[in-house]
Amino acid sequence: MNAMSSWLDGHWLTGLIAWPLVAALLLWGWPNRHQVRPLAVVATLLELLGSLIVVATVQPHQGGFQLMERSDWIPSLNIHYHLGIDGLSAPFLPATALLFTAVVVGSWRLVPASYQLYFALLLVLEGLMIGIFTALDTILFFIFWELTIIPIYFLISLYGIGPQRRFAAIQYTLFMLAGGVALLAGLVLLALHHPGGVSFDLPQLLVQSLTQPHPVAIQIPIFLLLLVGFAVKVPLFPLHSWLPLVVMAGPFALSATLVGLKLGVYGLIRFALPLAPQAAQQLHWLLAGLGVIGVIYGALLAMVQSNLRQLLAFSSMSHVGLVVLSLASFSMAGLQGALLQLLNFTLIGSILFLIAGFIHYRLGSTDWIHLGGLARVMPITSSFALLFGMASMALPMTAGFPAEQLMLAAIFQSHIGPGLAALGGQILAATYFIQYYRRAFLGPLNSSIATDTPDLYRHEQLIVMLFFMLVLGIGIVPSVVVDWTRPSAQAWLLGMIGH
Amino acid sequence: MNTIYVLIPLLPWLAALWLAIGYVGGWNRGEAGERESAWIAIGATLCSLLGLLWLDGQWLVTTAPFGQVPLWPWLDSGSYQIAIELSLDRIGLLLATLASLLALMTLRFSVHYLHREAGFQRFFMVLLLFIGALLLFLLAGNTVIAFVGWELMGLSSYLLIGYSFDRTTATSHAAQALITNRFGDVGFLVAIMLSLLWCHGSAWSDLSQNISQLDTLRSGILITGFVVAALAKSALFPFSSWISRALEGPTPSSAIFYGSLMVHAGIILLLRLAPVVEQLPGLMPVLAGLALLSIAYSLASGLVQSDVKSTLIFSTQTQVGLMLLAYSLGWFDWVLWHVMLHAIWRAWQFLMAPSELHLLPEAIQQPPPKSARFDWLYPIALQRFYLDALATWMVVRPSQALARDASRFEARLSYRLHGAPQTSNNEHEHSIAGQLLQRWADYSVAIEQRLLLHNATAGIQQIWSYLAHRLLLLDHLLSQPRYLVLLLLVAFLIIL
Repeated sequence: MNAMSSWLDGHWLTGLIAWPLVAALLLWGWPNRHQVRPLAVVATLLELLGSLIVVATVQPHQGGFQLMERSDWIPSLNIHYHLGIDGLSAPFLPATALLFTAVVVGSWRLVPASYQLYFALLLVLEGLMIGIFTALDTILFFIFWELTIIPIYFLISLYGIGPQRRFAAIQYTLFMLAGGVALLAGLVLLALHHPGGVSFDLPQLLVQSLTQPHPVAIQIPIFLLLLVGFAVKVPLFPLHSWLPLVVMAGPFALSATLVGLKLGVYGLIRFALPLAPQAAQQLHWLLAGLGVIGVIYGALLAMVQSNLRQLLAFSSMSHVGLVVLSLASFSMAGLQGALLQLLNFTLIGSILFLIAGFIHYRLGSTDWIHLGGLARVMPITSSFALLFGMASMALPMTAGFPAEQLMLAAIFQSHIGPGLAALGGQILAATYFIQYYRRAFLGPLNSSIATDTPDLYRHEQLIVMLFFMLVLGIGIVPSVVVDWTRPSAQAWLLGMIGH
Repeated sequence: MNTIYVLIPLLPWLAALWLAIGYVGGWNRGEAGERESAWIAIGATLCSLLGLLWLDGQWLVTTAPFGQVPLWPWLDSGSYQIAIELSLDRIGLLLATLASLLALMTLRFSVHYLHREAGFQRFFMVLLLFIGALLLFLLAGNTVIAFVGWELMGLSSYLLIGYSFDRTTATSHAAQALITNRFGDVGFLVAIMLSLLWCHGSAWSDLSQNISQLDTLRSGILITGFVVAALAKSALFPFSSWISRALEGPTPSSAIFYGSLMVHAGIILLLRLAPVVEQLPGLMPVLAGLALLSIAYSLASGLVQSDVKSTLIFSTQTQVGLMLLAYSLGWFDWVLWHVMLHAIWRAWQFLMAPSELHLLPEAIQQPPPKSARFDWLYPIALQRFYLDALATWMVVRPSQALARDASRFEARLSYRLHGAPQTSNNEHEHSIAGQLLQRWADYSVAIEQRLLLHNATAGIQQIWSYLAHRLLLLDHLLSQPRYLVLLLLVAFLIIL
C-alpha cells in the first residue's frame, strides 16, 4: 500500500491512464456478470476521484506543464514516454472522468446483453482519451489518438442500434485513418525540421516555435496537414459526414462521448495552432471560413432533421463551428470562450444524447414522427430536455451563456462579418430545437405511446440533475473556470502572437 | 453591504427553484401542495417589494437615488470584462416597485384562478422566473445583465404561452413567439458586442459617453441592434403579429406579460438608452414612422376582433405605439408615466376580462359609422396586415428551402465521401476514394483513345458543351431569389 502511494506520487497521470485499462481487463474477465455494472460504476468513480485529486494538485498560477513524467521509449528516434498537463488540458481530465461516469451509469439499462465487453470497451476508451489529454510527446499522442479507433469500432459494430452499424463502423475507421495519415505527416515534418535534431517533444517544439520559428513556407504545409488531421475529428465541413452516420448507428453512450469530448478542437488548441503560429495567423480566414460554414450549414441541416440524434449531431457541428471561428481571433476571450464551450459540450451536448438514449430505450425511437406529447407521460425528462436544449442555445444563467459571450466578443473583434452570419445561425438554432421540441414533447400524446411509460429512473435523474447543477453553477460563476485557466491561456497566447 | 440588493431579483428565482426541487422530489405536487407553493411565491415577491419600498423610502429621504451600484465582477477575460451591477436610479426604482406590486397582485389572483389545475405549481414556478427576470432587467446596470433578464423573460413567456402543452395551437403559437423574439435577441447581442468593441464598456453610462466619438454609420448600426430588440419585444411594427397569438396562456399570465409588464420592456429599454438615442437625431423620424405603422396596424386590427382578450391586446398595442411616438418626439418623462399608468390600468382590465361579459351592458357599442367608408381596410385588418404571410414568404420559406437544399447537398456529399451501404441487390456503392481510382483509370484510357486514336476536335467539343451545361446550371441557380440574396449577403459579409 505504502509502496503504491509513493509510486503514485510521481506517476499520477500514468495512474489515471492505466487504471481504466486495468479495470477494463478485470471487468472483461469478471466471472459474475451481474456484478459488472456496479463494478464499472465504481471504476469510473475512482477515476473521477483521481482526476479531481490531480486537478487539485495543479498550481493554476503557473502557466507551464506540471506533473511531468518522462522516460525513454525509442531512443534511436528520440521518442519518449512523456506526460504532463497545464491549465488548458487539466480541466478535461475531470470532464472526461465525469462524462464516462455519467455514460456508464446512464448505460445501466441501455445495454441489453453481454455487458462485460461493453463496459470494458468504454473503460478502454476512457483511458485512451485521458492519454490524449496528457501526452506531451507527439508520437505518444498520435498513438493514443489512433488507438481510440479500436474500442470505437467495436462499440459501433457490436453495440450499435442502427441497421447500418457495420457500415458506420468501417466508415468511421476509414475516415479516422485517413485523417491520421495527414496528422502523422504533419507531426513528422515538424520533428524533422527541429533545429537540434529530430524531436517529438511538445515542450521543446513549443519553445522552438516561440524563440526561432520556422519560415512561414515550412509552417504552412505543417499547419495544413495538422488542420486536416484534426478537422476530421472536430468535425469541420466537408469532413463531417461520419458523425451523422455514427450517431444514427452507434450506441448512445458512444455518441455522448464523441460529442461531449471535442478531441479535434483540443488538438487544434494544443498542437496545430501553437506549433505553426505564423501560418495559423496567415490562414486565419481559412479557420474563420470553415467555422462560419460549419455554423450555418450545421444549423440548416439540423432544421430538416426529424430524428433527435441527427439533429443533435448537426447542432453540435454548428456549435463547434463557432468555437473554431472564435479560435481564429487569436485572443484571450476567444481562447477562454472556446475552452469553456468545450466543457459545455461535455456538460450539455453529451447529456442531450443520453436523454435521447433514455427516450429511445423506453419508446424505441427518437424520431418525432413516432413521438409527440412526451411531456404528459415523462414530465421530468421533458423538462430537462428543454433546459439542456436552452442551455445549448446559450440561455443566460447556464454555462452556454458566458461561453457564447466570450466567443462573440472575440469574433466581433477580429471578424465582424462572419460574426454576424454566426448570429444568424443562432436564430436557426432556436428554430430547429423549438420545432423538434414542439413536435416530440408537446402536443397531444401519440397514440402509440403507453400512458404508463416510466419517467427518468432514480439513477438517470441523479446524473441529469448533477450535470444541470454544474451547468447552472458555471453559468452563474464562470470566473471559477476562466480565472483558473488564465495563466496557461496567457502563455498560449504569448506563444501564438508573441510579445 | 450593497450585495444585499441582488436579493431583490434573486428571491423570486430562489422561490421558483424551491418549487422546482419540490416538484422533482414529489412533495408539493397536486392539490395538497398548492397552499405551500402559493405562500412561497407570494412571500418571495412580497419580500422583493418590501426591499424596493425600503430603497424608495431612502430615496425619498435623501432625495437622491443611488445610481450605479457595482456588486462584483462576473467574467473577466481579455477585452471582455463584465461586472454584475445594478442601476438603482429613477427609472429602475419606479418601474421595479410598480412591477413587483402588480406581480404580487397577479400571483394572489392566480391562487384561486388556477385552483385544482394540473399545472398549478408549474404556473407559479414560471411566473416567479418571469418576475425575477423582469426585476433584473429593470434594475440592470449594464447591457449584459439587462440581456440576462431579457432572455429569461422570453423563456418564461414561451413556457406560459405553451402552458396547456397538449393543445397544438398553444404550442405552435409559443414557438412562433419565441422565434420572433429570437430576432430581437440577436439584435440585442449584436448591440452588446458592438458596444463592447466600439464603446469599450457595457454600462449604460459607457454607451452614452462614448457613442458621440463614433461615426454615424457605426453608432447607427449599434443603436439599430437595440431598436430591433425593442421592436420585437414590444411587438411593434414589423414584429407585431406574435403578440396577438400569445394569449393562449392562462388569463393572469396574459395580464402580466402582454397586458401590462413585458410588452413595455422594449419601450423601457429605449428609455434607458434615451441619452444614447438622442445623440443620433436621424433615428427619431424612423421611430416615429414605425410608431405610426404600429398604431395603424393595431387600431384597424382591433376593430375587427370578436373576443375580449384580442380586443384588449390590440388596444394595448395601440398604446405602446403611442409611447413609441411620444418617445420619438423626445417626451421621455411623458413616456415613463404613460408606461406606469398604462401598466396598472391594463393589468386590471385583463384580469377582469373573463368576467367582462357579465359586466357589459346589453347593447355592445358598435364601431363608429365612419369606418364603413373604409371597407377596403376590412380584409386587410382581418388578415392583420398580412404580416404573418409576409414573414412566411420572406423569411420562413426561403430558409426552409435553403435547409432542404443543404440537406440534398449533404446527401450527395456524404454519398461521395463514404458511398452507401450494401443495398438489397448486393451491390456495394463505392466511395470517393474507390471512384477516384476507377475514374483515373477510365480517364487515362479515354485520353489515350481520344487524343491518339480518334479525331481530337470531337473531344474538345464535348468539353465545351459540358462547360456550357455547368454554366447554365449556375445561371439557373442564380435566377432563384434565395441564392441571389444569399450571394449578396455573403458579399456584404465579406466586405464587412
